[in-house]
Amino acid sequence: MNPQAPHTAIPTSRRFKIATDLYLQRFIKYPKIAECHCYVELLYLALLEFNPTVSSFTPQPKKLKINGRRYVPDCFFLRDGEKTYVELKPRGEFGDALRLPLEQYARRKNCKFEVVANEAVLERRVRAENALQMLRVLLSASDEDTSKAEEDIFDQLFTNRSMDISDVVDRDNRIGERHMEIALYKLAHSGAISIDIDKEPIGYRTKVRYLHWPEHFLLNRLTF
Amino acid sequence: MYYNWKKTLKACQQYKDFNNWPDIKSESLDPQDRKHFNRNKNIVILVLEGMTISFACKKYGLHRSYGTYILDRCLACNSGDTPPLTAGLIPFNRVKREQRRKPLSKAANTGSRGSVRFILHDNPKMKSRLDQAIFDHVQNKKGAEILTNASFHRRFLDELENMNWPQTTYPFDRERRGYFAITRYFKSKVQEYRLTKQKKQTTPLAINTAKRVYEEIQIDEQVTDTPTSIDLYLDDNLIPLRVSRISVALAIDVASDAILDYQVCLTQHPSHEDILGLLEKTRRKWEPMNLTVNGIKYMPGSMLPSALDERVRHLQPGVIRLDNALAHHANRISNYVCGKWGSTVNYGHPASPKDRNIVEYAFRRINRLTHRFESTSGSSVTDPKRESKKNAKTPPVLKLHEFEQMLEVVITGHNMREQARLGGASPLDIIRHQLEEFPLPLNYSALDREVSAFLDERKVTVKSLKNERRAPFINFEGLRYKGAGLSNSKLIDTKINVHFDIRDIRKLEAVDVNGNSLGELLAPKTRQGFALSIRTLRRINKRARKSSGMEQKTVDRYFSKLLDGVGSSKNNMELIRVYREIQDSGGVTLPTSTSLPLCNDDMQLDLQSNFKTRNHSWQQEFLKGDIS
Repeated sequence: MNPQAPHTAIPTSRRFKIATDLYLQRFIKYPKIAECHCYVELLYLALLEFNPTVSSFTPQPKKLKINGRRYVPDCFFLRDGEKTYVELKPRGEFGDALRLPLEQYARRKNCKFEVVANEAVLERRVRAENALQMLRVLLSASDEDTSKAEEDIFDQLFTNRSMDISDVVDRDNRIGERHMEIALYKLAHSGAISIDIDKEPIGYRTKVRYLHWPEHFLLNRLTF
Repeated sequence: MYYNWKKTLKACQQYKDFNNWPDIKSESLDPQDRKHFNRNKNIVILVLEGMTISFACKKYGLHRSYGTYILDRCLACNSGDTPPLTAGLIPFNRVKREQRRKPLSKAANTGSRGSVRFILHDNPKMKSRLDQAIFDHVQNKKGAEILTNASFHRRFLDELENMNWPQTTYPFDRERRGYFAITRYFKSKVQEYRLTKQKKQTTPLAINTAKRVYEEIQIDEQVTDTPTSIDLYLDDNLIPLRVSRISVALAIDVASDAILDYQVCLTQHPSHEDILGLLEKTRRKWEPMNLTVNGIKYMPGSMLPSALDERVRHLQPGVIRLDNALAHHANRISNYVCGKWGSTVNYGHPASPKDRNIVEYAFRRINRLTHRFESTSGSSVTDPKRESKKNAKTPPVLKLHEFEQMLEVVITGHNMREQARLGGASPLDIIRHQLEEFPLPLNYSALDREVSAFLDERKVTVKSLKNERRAPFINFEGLRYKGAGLSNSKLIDTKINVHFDIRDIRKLEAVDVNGNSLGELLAPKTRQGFALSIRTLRRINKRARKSSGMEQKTVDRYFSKLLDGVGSSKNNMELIRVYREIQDSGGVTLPTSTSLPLCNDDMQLDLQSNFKTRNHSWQQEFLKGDIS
């Protein structure tokens, strides 16, 4: 994890916790329990979680005072070494009174400040919800060693280029053969493979494709 | 401009064909009116077809003026209005609002019929002000005047006086100044605004079958409406005791409408431990209860989903939806659901129970059972369902364990009942189907290690008092814990971690900062007799603080105190809670009975042998039968 990302979010006050539609979720790129003040924030973090270019993120990262008003951005993330503060707003409408000082602050700190429209996140809702589903499985199986299963999946993909999830997950013995399923989601999380999760919930017929082969795998193949 | 029937027909040619008139079936009318309705209809049809009114009326033995009257009823209207058409054929049907044609009376020279509406129609601003006042009164707006017939009449007259209304014109030319007419208007408006305020009839929302099971679980709790009793076995007598109303917490799956599990909480204010207990129960295999009540039995195939398949017990919950109750915001709940399960917790907007409509609806189903007993819904002191004073003096005939068994049968029965909104399938069928058809996410955390909702850890400091030549210890929940693992001078004044089960803190597992085990730490010997939960310990301490503070803070002493105060229903509930807590942890059986057979010989022998080994006052008293 990139040490540059702050790893402690600003805790939500007790009163605000009750006033909002609060969601609590643990992530891999943010190992503590994240407090999201609406469903869109949760979906946005899920999208960041399964974005391989994002190395870490922090919800509610920093308390700022702008023109005497307290303000906490919704999210901060590191993407390819670039720091970005994000504010999620309906229709992307964010008043100049806050936006301009924030952009100025971000420039001074060598960061970017982005306003993301809620609608843009909701357009990718299916992907985000599928990402959350995979994330939860990965969190529950964080101790599982799946290196061999990952090799097996690459082997299958090397032969077939594309396959269904049912080719990897044994539907009659899911608990016994769980390593394959966990490995599949781990590879999707790292960005080595892609799973078609943009249009419909994950099913046995969901397609799996490779994105890039790991170096050691290609070396082994060349030797062979 | 007023259009009589001839002018209307000239302006609207389509009305010349009776087929273009709206259809009213004569069967839908009152039988007495049907005959005249058909007669009127035939007269109109004949005239529309080109016959004279005289001829059409003569056919039915009527004067031609009646024909004109009927045609005007159907077709005459003011310009811009729609004529009543077929509705005008119904005898005595009021087809248009009564409207005053004459000018208002002056010095009572004419009648006053329709005068108030005439005034209001001519003065729309005054009408809107009056209507607004009525609306504010009905809506109970802040600062709104509470209107009565008299005050509204006064307001109406004030409005007219402000407009310099002539004192010789209606209503000032009348003795009561139009009091009854304006009162009628006021009442009709109040009725109209009250009707608009009525809430819409809610129908249960259709279950979204596109959702996957366990994707969303709703949890809530409710105080049941049924008072129950327990039987206390003392001095060879069964003493029935009233128990305060209990709460039931439910976990329900949104996609399938299956009740995953329920928790009977022996309190009206469930704590986070009750919710944790419920969450943990959803991961354990359901075992059928031993039903002892005559006449009730499980419906064939009824069960909780955890008994369906091993995979169901490992299904990964998506979002756990809770309301903003204080107990739900406990860190232990979020740590367990997010930390150990990896699921999401959602607290929702405040005061929005409709966001969790599925679980609220499930309570409504349970209430069908609980409302069958005389009780109170707690809605008001004059609740008609309230238990009468006469019956409230004696303990309810329904025993707590009987009620629990009924609840079990109702809840498990719901899971196998086919529902139209699930496409004719039962909740269990939906789960079975989705398990086979979809790769539902499974939670693998509980496969290799124990994941208990009640296991917790805390950082404590190892202490050693120099003036007391005693072994090092830690303070935990106000008690001193000691153990062989602490006898290391390097540990003194350092932090260590202790792992414990909140249901029984007689023993703690100590681990140093490097993760090395330091063995078990034990609570004082006086606390070792019975299982000691954190909840009970805190209640014992609270009770001791309220009293002199000198009494023994042990479970048996606490239980003895509870036995002393068996009169109060809340006290009885706490008694049974402590009893069950001790019983669940495999401790000694205490002298209460919650399940039939209430107290058999074996249990008595067991009790005596257990109590003889210990020397507590209440046990001796119990054996002698002195407690009454």
